[in-house]
Amino acid sequence: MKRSTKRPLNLFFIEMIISLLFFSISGAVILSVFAGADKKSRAGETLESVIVFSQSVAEVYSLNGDYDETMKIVSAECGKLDDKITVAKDEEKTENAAGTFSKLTLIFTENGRKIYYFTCAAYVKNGGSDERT
Amino acid sequence: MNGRKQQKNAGIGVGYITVMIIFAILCLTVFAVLSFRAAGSNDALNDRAGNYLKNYYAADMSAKEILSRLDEIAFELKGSAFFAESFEEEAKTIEGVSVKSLPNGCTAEYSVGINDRQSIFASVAFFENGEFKINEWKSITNDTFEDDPGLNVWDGTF
Repeated sequence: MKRSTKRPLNLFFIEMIISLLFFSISGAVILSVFAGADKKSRAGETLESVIVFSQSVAEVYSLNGDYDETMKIVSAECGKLDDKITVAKDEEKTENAAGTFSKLTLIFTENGRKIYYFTCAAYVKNGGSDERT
Repeated sequence: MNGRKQQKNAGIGVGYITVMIIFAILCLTVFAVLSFRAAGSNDALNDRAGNYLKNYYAADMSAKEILSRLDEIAFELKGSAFFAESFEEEAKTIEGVSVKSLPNGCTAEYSVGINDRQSIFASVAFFENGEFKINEWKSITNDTFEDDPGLNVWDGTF
């Protein structure tokens, strides 16, 4: 008597293959979503650190109106930015009889891509900083 | 015979893997979407904070520019007999500046808009000796505050 060669094991393997195929396709899509979220999260962290740094620069600069002095103080107090981030500055000073009005624009770039820019200003009276209370 | 058949079918049944994989994929999809949304909303929040900072310091810059112009006027009028009158007249040429007289000088007040709802308000006292003192430099809301009258409750009288 000949025995039947059909076994439930074959069906199990077919199901497993189809499931693995489906899982690998879905996994690829889900992984790309995770990678996108991670990229966005990193970009957000970088922007956040740049914003905090910018605010520190603006506050210190508004008191002394000197970029080099400001960067020295901010770097000592808040630490340096990530090495990947480069800062370009544009400083403009307008002097009048009473004092000096300075305008500072900072442009932050990461791998050649501009991520943030802002402008702040300072007014320093001749012979010292202003008398802000 | 029956016992042998049961032994063969024991273990992972057909369909069990499909159910498990569908469940795993559903879980992973939910986590992926949630993390993407969280990163997106964090990014949007950072963008808003960055824009606010940009607008705030742009307004601060305008306010300081006005201060430098007012200080220049005060410096030129230093020691003048009609300091307050002349300063008021000159300061009026700058848009949005109002001047009040002081015994030994005058106070200039002005505000610069940060956005639709907020402004930087500055109040600076200029003295006859050419010096100035910033009395107030703060961000204010443009909206007027309306006091909540509270709940209309029964006061115990008929």
